[in-house]
Amino acid sequence: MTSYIIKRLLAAIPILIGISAMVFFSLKLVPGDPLTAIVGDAIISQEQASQLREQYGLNDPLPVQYVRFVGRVLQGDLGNSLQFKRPVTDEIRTQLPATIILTFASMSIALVVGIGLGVVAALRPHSWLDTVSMSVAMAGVSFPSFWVGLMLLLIFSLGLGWLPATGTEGFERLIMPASTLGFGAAAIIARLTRSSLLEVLRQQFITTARAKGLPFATVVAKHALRNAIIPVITIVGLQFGNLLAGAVVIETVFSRQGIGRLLVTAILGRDFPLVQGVVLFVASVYVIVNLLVDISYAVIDPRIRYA
Amino acid sequence: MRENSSVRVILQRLIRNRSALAGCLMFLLIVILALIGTRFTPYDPVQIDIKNRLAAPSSVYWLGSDHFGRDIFSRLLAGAHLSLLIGLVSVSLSVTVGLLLGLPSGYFGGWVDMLVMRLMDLMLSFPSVLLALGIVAIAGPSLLNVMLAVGIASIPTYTRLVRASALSVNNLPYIEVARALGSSHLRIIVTHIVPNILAPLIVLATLGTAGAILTGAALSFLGLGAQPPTPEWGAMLSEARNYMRLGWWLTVFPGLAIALTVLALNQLGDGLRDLLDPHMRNI
Repeated sequence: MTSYIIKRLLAAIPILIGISAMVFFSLKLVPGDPLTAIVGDAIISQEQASQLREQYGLNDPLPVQYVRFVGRVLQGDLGNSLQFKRPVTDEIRTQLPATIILTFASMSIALVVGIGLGVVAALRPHSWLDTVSMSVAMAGVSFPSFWVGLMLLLIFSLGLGWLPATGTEGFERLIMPASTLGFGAAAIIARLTRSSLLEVLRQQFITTARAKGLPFATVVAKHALRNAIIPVITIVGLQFGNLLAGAVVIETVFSRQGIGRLLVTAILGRDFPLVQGVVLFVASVYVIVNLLVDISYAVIDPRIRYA
Repeated sequence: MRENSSVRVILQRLIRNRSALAGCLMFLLIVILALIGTRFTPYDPVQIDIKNRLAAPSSVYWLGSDHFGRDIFSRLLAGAHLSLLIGLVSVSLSVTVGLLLGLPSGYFGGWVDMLVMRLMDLMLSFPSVLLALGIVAIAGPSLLNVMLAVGIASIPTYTRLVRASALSVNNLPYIEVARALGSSHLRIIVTHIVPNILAPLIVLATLGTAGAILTGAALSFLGLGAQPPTPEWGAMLSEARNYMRLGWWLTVFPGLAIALTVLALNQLGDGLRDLLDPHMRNI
């Protein structure tokens, strides 16, 4: 098990290096003077420009600039935001808690609803329960999340007045954003749980368990679901990344604080250091979450670590 | 002759699969509306008419009017082709690049495969929406850049599918025979491998078009795609957001248009997967 974890940890290092290179060099693709990416639209003299170029090492070859960039990132320095005139890391630190809360709340809703719908559908395939569950799941993958959010706002906030429309603080301000974001992930988890459980329920060990006289509920919970859940765990890792990215839209819809809204503000304001910092941060988190999922996958299914 | 009969079998099965048929018909209707939409709108979709702003749905304005008095039905019709175009252009880009990278990767293997797959792993280490956002951030907000960004972000999915499919047929006897008969690599790839990987590619492209329309609309909603007054559905929702207190119809109909289009494509894609993948048929 330890060697498997070490192997997976080592495999993540080149990916993280690749991400940093991709983020660094992509900024060099921005049309115009690279100094614009640092000072924005501020008007500066020729002298100041050459001084800044020297200061930021823009006259050095690109590989040298990249190595310096990685060195700074490893020390937690992602540069300064042009709009907020603060270090990018400070901005991320301020906005991060709201996104973490939103992501975990959405994932909890997605898991409960998704696995619930998937199990119900798989236990009664081709029945009306299956049709209803899978129709809900189909709606979840087809309806744009920002529209679902707007509809919830229209009904529960503007119409019934039950929930506050915008803001970040408090549980009641989390319900609608988390439900909206969790709906899409729930749909994918439901569809996968259904097909995976149907597949497992056909296996011979299930027939054996039932032939032994075990109650159907025990067979499903202890034998079938435990095996059927393995592919679901993989998708949970991927969904975490999608939820982080989906937060970009949902935080905008509900005017919530968070990394996603910060990224949109940065893109619209052409604040390249902030865009670079947020993209690098989110992508790194995505890699680490998937690494943890891979490790948990091996804990649950011994075949993986011995493969 | 044999090709005709297999196409007929697939069509017969498609007709028997009710949800796939419904998706297919709904999508055809949306395509027809998109094709004729720009010419037959009841009102000018961008003409401002302040006197009739925020009119509720009625016999005059079937789906109401927006905060500038523009007819929502006309705007939806005029914007249909834009949403479909986002899906079509971005998926065409991903399929083309996916084939160009995935086929040599799966067929030749070795360092080509290693290089292509590491690049794809790297792209996959970004959530696709984040990758698309990053590309738009570099290229600047516009509808064309959204199409390119969504297309580029999906390239790894198609490349991996094409590579896996090419690998699975690469060592089959008929490919060995073609090689033994002296067929060139290009000929083997084009005439023997490509036809065999079309089925999963068609399924993925259908479902991918739905996803591309959703991502494109989301980027326009964030103000990074189509800009006002373009009647793109995501951009319409973005504009409507500030006025939703004044009229429910402003947000309901554009979102419904996106949802129905994506739903139709998803139903069709699911149906095609059931038809073309025998393993999935009974699940």
